[in-house]
Amino acid sequence: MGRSAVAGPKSREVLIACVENADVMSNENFPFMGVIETTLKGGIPCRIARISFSGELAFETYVPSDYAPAMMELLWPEAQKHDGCLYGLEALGAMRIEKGHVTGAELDGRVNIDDAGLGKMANADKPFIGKAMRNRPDQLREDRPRLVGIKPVDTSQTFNAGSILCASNKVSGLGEGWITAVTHSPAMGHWVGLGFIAGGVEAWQGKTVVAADPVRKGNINVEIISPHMYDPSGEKMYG
Amino acid sequence: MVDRISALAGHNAPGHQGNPGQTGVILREPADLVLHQVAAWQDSIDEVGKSLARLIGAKSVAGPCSSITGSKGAMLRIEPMKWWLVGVAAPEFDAEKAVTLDLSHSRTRVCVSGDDACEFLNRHLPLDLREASFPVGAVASSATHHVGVTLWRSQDGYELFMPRGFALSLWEGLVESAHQFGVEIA
Repeated sequence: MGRSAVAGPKSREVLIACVENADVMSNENFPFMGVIETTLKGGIPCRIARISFSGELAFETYVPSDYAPAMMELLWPEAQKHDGCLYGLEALGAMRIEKGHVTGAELDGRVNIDDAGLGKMANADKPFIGKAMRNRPDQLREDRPRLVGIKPVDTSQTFNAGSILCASNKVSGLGEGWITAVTHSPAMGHWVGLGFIAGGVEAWQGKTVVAADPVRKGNINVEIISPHMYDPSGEKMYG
Repeated sequence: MVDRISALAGHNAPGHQGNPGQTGVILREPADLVLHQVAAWQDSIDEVGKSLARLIGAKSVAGPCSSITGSKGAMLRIEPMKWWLVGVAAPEFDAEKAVTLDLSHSRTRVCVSGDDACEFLNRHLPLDLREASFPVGAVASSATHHVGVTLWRSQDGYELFMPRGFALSLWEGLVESAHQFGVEIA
């Protein structure tokens, strides 16, 4: 399949101009997490999924591979009309960190669904792989490392992925957690990161934490915040 | 309907390359591949096979490692329980009998013919392609440069079905290695 992500507040308008039947793109007909089969102009068969890794209103379009060039020839001029641009993995990485969306950097094999903040996605009334393990005592410990957002106390400072998160009065040993991803956040104007720390946000509110990185950068004071650092209510995605 | 764009577009311009005055190999990509896979279950395979034979206008069913060409298309037995239909779309089956998959855009088809086609391909594929072992109608799953490919010997020559994402890379290797025989891109 040829695939393209179309993301941003104008993404629906771009796709409305590219599909043969604009009605299929309305918020009512095509809600968040919906998937439709439709036709792009020129008769190109297409599936569109309304999903978002960037945190913006976003769609992914899928067409048979030989039609991928034709799809881009439709999408790109329409995107340009809205001052759109092509974006790559670096930009996507920055946006997903701002949004608190996890990747392989976070899901490293030690993390369970609740640690990653995804527990509500599991239906407790149905069987699923991992359901039995989820309730083992060690998986329920309150001090398990939980996904959190991280920002420097001095927002002019930067910090590194791979740093160990330590209580400010005990910067030694294995610490209380670790940082998995960092980026400069254009939306917030300073660096932000994702990571895991024992007990999650609730355990560290109002406390200064040290991101210890003695080999590279030294110690940076950071604040533990919600991983949903940008548009936490999801208004953009659901818009 | 917009035109389909091949994975080889811009890299398969017709013309002669390589050894001057000699054309031992002819490479051609048939346009707009129509390729569907049909996978049957053990207790439905006979019924599904006969249904596909009727669909392509043939009187018999392709057995393992072979193909049947009918008036409307061809059926290739690419795996014990699977056929590929070339040139004709698969019908919908009850899932209890068979499941179908449209592979038309997932493979790039290249037909290799010419006097040196057998020797040329043997530099890419670990198969005995001589007439006695791989006659017209034969089908094999193989690999070249660690990429899984399907080979079918049709009336037109040796037909390679390559995964689309690797097709351009494999094509460049095919063309360059065909230079020694003299190659015509048809």
